[in-house]
Amino acid sequence: MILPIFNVVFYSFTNSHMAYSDWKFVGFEQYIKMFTKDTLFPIAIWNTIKSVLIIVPFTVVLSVTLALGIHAVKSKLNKFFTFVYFLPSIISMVAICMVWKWLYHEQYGIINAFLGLFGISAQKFLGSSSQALFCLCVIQVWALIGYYAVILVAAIRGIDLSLYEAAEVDGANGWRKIFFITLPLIRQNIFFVCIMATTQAFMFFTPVKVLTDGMPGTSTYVLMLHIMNRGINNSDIAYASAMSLILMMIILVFSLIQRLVIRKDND
Amino acid sequence: MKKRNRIIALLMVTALTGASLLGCGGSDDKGSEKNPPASDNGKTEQDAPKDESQEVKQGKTEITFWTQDSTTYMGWFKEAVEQFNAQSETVQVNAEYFPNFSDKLSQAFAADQQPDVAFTWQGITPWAKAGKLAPVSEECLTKEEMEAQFYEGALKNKLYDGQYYCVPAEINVESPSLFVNMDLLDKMEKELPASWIENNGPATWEELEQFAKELTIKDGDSITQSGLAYVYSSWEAMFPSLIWQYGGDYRDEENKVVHFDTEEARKAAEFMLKYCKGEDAISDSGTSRYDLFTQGTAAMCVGAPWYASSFDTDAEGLNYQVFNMPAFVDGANPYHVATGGWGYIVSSKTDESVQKAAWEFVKYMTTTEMTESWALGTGALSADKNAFANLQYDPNVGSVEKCIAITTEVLQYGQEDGAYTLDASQLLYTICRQQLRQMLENGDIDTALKTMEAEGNDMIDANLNR
Amino acid sequence: MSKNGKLGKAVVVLLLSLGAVTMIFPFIWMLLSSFKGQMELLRMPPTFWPERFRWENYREIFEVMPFFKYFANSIVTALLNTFVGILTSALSGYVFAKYRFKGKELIFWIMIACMMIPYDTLMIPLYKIMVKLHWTNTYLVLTIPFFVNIFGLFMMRQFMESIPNDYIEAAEIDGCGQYKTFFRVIFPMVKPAVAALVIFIFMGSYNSFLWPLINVNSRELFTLPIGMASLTTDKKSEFELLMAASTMAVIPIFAVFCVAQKHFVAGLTMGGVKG
Repeated sequence: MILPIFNVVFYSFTNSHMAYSDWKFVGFEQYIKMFTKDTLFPIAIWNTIKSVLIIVPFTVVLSVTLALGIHAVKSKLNKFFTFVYFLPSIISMVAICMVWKWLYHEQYGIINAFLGLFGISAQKFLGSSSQALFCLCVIQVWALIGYYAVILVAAIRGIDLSLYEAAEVDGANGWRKIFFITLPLIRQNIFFVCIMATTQAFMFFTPVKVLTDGMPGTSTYVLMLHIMNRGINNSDIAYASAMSLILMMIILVFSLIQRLVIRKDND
Repeated sequence: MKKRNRIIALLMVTALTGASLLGCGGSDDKGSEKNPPASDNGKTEQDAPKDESQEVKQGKTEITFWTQDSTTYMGWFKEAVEQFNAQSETVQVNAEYFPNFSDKLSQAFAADQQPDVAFTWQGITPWAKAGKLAPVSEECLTKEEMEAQFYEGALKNKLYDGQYYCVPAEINVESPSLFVNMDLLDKMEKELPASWIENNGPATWEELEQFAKELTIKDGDSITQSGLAYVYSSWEAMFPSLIWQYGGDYRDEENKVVHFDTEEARKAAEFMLKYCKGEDAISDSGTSRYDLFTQGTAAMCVGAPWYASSFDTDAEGLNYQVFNMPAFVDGANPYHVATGGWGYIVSSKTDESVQKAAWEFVKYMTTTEMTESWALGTGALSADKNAFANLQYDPNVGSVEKCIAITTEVLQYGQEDGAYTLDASQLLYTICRQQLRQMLENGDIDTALKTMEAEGNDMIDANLNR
Repeated sequence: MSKNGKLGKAVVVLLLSLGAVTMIFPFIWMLLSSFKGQMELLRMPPTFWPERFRWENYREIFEVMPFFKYFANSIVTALLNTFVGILTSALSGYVFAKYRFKGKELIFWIMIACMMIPYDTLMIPLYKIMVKLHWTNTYLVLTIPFFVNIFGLFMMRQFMESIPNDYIEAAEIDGCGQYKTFFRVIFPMVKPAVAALVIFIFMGSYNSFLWPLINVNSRELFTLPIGMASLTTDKKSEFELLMAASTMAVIPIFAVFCVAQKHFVAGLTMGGVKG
């Protein structure tokens, strides 16, 4: 798994192409092209960052809340809820996208029917350049919170019960227990969820490809779509590698910032 | 204790990194990449077991053949390959079928793992330039025979450096057909103009646009039923078609640059903008519009003949009609994009006997009868000029037969979209597509055209200079 | 206090149930869609309840592809990959969590960085390596690359880091060796995490599509996702069959999930360290 990363770095400084066996070094040409000539690249980066800023906070907060909620339910329902919330991760993305396409449908969609009850006029959702990206992010968040909640539930289960008992003796109530015992103790796992959610949000692809393909205009044109369209599908492995490395750097920067924040909380 | 800790830790890390480096073979990789012959060794070694099985099969040369895995393709090819194997004394074809076929084949070519023969629609020029494809052998078809048998438009992008590298089965047209949803028309109590059936379509764009407007339903700014919807790649193909019909051209004589910053291209862009946006819009500019037609929210749509065969499965029982599109521009010929589509390619990485066997198979598969049978089975237009000389159809109802027959009549107006770029589909379906989409949102024609030109020329440069 | 607590619990259950409805909806829809016809499935507005239950969709699946062969290939490789993947993830996670050596952070972050390169880009060089090793078109290619799992490593490291060092020291004082400490003390403690990881690795391997597609040429080695992808192409899609196949494909994941979930609660005995 590690060797290919060197290949990718190597490709990004050449003019490698999947159809050809020969290549030559071109220095930083791929990177220069990316930042000066490719008009779509900045748009794609901007859309991606926007979607990350929507997806990550919602995913993390909701999955933590969900995990706490599931953990609070002690009866048999507990297993049922874990299972049900994990369902979106199990079933095929095509099915999920078909369902959401229907939910978002301008004329027949359930969401518009619901809004209609409150006298709100029909929204275009995926057809509107101002709403489409947010609507796609909702799908991503919805599909992933159950996945991360499973990890966090496992972490909460691992907490030493005697800590709670000690806290109860000190008279701590439910909320205090959550904020002063549970959350600090699963900090490492929340960090994990943050990094994974960030990585996945930067690689936001399937719902975009299936539902809008970057449209309307370029309002949902994310970086992964650009890497696939310009790089992989055109066999331009050199350009794809260069863009992938830039993507990796951005994710790394975001991750290291998150690490610093978490470390600070640690002190 | 501490020391032992450290040693074990180091061991574990080494083992782990070792595993992630995928063993010693991994480090060989870079060396052999710089050294192409090494990969050939790999190939012959892999071929070794094949030779053994050859002997078992009494001297028949075995070749592998790959194509797309879909019900229609697999169904047709299974039968055809069986027929071939039964009649051939010397060649045994082993066929494999794959989903996501273009990815699979590109990857295989990248690692020199391509099959002996493949049937694909992908552009062949990069592979030909890289020396991975064998030119069509004289024994199969000579250059003259090829040019006599196939449409010019179907051959242009199969040519590299004066030689053909692919025997086409299909000529791929994007937007000459007009489909009408008759069920929807009945529901709206509209009559199809009688002259359309007589003349195989409306006489002028005005006539069509007028009818489309009557069928368009709007709710405020948004279109809830498109009168005349465009579908994916037909939409991009409309742009060059318009440029040609306005009398311009984005290709130049030297075939080394593209021009989009022209008067005709501007008119074409304005036409498309008017068509999807604002008061006179008759098409919704939303996402996948093929669905709209099959689901009954678009009354008419423009498209390619293969839709007709897709309706059989995607929209079973749909009552539709099919016509030829008129020219968008008054008085112009109905130019449209027509290029070489699906065709057979043969790898050059095998030894002569295998290549010879491969061409024998290709020759068998590209006779007029075989191409006809394939085209009818998959709803494609035959690249063979002699195919469908007298195809029977009923002009009063839409059918695959009618679609193929009437489209064949306008094939003379088909134009190549620019094979010289070494990657024509990237020009139209990556670069132009994105700029056109952006233009629809912000209405900025100037920027869109200038960017198309710049990015198109960059791509051609990169392709020519490698 | 206890009344308040009960009310709170009721509110939590209510909210969770509301959320659960939205989560379960696509699944039900997929299940019902697998009984619909092609036209009915794509119609707008869609029908929720099938007009007629078409059991023949399921029969047809077995006609268009050797479902059980693909299914067996998927299951066998996924189970093997899960077993080995868990071992390597837990061991390497332990090393990165509890051992100290030079450049640990650096190596760790390089590994994490690998995860941040799009899979599609990494696949091309990785495929070339497989070709060089002559692993393509064998079972090796469906298993060995899945043995090392960076996601698993990262997850296990995070779980093991929160285990206090006292436990390890206590175990060592009790005379446990390195391996005994790991398997007897650490592993049971992270059992809920291991259970979760089992599900993730199993799913990752079971659902992987592009990798087997690129690396495998023989139908004998095709996995279920490849078979399912054949049902949709650019020009034609048989969604009703895809839904039926997806519904059947989900069953093993359900099974693994249910088995793994039993262990979510186990391993709660962190308090039980002597000394």
